[in-house]
Amino acid sequence: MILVRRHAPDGAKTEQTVSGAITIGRATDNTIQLPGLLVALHHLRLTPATSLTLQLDCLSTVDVIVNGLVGQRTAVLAPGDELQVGGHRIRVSITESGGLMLEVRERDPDQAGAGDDATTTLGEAGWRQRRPAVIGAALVLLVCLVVPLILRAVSPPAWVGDWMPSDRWWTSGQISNAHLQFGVECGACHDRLFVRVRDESCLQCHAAVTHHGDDAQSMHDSGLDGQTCASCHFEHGDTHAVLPQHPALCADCHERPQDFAALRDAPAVFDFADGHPAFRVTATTMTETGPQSLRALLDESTEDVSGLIYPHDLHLDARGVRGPDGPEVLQCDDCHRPGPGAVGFEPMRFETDCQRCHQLDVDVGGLPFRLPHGDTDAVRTLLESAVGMTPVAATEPDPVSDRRRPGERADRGEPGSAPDQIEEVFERRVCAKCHEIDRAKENQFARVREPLLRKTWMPKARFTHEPHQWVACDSCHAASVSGDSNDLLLPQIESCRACHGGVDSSASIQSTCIDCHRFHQAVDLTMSKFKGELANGQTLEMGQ
Amino acid sequence: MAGVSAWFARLRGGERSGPARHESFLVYRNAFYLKVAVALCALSFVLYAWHDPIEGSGGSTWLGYGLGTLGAALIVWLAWFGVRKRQFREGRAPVQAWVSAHVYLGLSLIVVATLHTGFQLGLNVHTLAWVLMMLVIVSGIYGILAYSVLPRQVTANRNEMEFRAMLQEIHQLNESALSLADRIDPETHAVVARSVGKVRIGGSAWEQLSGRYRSPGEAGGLDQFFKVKRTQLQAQAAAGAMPQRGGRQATIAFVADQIFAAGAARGGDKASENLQKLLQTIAKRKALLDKVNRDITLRSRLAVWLYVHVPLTVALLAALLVHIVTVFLYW
Repeated sequence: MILVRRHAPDGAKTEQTVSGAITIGRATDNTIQLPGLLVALHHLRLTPATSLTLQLDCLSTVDVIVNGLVGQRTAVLAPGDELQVGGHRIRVSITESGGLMLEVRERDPDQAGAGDDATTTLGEAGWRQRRPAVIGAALVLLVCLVVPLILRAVSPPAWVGDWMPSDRWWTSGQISNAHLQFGVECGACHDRLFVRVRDESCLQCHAAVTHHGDDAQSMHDSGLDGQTCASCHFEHGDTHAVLPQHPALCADCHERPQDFAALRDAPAVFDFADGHPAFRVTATTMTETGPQSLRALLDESTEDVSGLIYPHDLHLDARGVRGPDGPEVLQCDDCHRPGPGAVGFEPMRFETDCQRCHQLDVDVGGLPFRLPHGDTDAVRTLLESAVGMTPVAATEPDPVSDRRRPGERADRGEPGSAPDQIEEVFERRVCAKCHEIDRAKENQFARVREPLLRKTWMPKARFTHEPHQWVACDSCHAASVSGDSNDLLLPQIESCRACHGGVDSSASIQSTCIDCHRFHQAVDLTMSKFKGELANGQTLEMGQ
Repeated sequence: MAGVSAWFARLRGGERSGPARHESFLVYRNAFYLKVAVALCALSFVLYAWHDPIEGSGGSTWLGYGLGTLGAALIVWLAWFGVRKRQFREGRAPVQAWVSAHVYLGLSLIVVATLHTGFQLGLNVHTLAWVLMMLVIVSGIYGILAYSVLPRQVTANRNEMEFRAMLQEIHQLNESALSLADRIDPETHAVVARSVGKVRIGGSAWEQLSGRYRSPGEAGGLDQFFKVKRTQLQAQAAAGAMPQRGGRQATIAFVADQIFAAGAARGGDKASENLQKLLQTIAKRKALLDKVNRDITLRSRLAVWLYVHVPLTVALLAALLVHIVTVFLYW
């Protein structure tokens, strides 16, 4: 016995009890007659299989939907299964007494129509705006802000940061090459939230750097005392952005030196191309009290007294000079050998740069001597003992004695007294060939004046020869026409401007202040010096 | 916002004094907001070109902060439009003004926000905000294009029929088809009922957008069935006529045959006629279904950008917040 409970669209409920096979269809001879043209005349048959299951057989080719699936022709139905026949729903369930029951819910003909189950908008197709919006916003906040903040607070192992969202994602741009080594540790510089990077962070590594000057008043006047490292060094810009390039950083003070007491004597500077004064040099001048360093404008008359006699034009003669092995044409780098890093040159030394051609051979009374270099007293002692050993007659020049200078007979001068002979070696025959000599005076022997060789004549700038090595030396240095070793063979600023322009130049090499000048290093008293090993980097160096 | 409200209050005055006619949001008040946006972009360009900060162009210069503040304010205000358009009855400015301002000021963000970045883009949360903003703008540009092209196509396609009315008509055609099929024979009814059961209006989002709806595979089968059925009915009709020509039976049997044959022929004719009507009904339903699906496609294409625009806008607001907070976290 099966209970059939019908729910009409208007809510009316009817019940009937049937036994045996149940046919369902539109025709009146069905056990359960259902209205509507979507129902076949004889649509299906339900036969009790066991006490709690029904065998479904389709009688028509019109579809029956079993539990939402179309296309089944036969099935065994248990309580809980549901059929759809032409829009009507038939559910298999169990009565209170444990018997099988069919609950038939008839389709409402008024509401039925095409499009009931249609998917006519993206919204009906399941698309949503609010849900993805909320999920997206939450994800962004979580991944980009909350998780990095938490990880920053708990300081997890480094490997966690490799795959977890970290504060690295907050970077505002590429970290400069110099800082890449610790660039992933944001806290190395950003040690406090909502606080700009403090100088203490920078000075952990850059402890050797001091400020632009030591004079508190100057620093205050220029406003530099209120600046931090990050005021000029901008990280997260580019591979080299941390090095400040903008001329305004310097020009904001140096283009109006009149406003700053410390710059009272300094020229106005704002751009290399058209806002830079002519070069000034620090050169050695001979005064009554001796050699002195003086700053002077670089022009044709500027001299640097070195105490050496070295005519560049003679040595650079294109026809060559007489060398130990015959004529040879000298090149600049035969004597000026690039120093470490090709920044400057090795100091000139007699032994390496002069001796090959200029040997200090002399004969006294026919006895040959080779004088030591660089020690006036030793030379004098040697000469005194040599003259003392020589008979007076022997002081006559020996016309057949070996020549001591390659290719030419040495000038022995005129014979004279023993002291005269010694002074003659200093003042005429040997030393005076290359050195300025302080001639013998009363109670004072002739002496070789100590040479004053500078490492640089522009201590406030730095020039590196290395990037310029493809340029011929005489492009900048007029050595081949200089006959006086006191000539300062430095180029004027116009020579530099042939290639170098201002920072905005479109036709020349864009050159900034710090290409030649340093901020944290200078030699004059208003500026601080590097500490430690770098202290001798650019100091005035006299004598060799 | 008070200034903006006053601004729109003035606009409203201008709108009322003007002629009451339809005006596209693109040319609203002689493209007033286009001019505002162009002026904004030009100003940003000039300032950016003139500005030469020591740290290089970017968000951390005074111009960067200025453009950033302006951009953020624009983003928040334009996003407010989403809320605002649902309350247009309460507002004082016409919705058209809001749309026009939204479109043009939204487009101006391309310039304002990009100059704010100083073209410093990378893999970080700041660029995420920029990318989201650009995606929102690109989806908005699609929206502008869609709204200027598709509504006309929707109108042309509907041919002055309401969407619900078209659905109703499909329903009625289904009913007629079933009714006609029922009058032919159970087999035809079953076939048509199955076909009706399988009629799908619209479809998945992809089907809606692409306009290529998955047909239930019935159309071909239905045609084939109708062809066979017609032949069958014609043969039935012919069979009814045959004994008339060749009948040599006894009178009664002859008459009975005649009556039967005539009945069969008549029945066959009637069925053929119903079949013909059924064919027409099914064809009409198919045409209407195509039209409805075309309508669904056009409307989905008109609406699809909002499913990108709105969620991305909300994500952008979150990214903007993250951008601003993190900039000051690691100042």
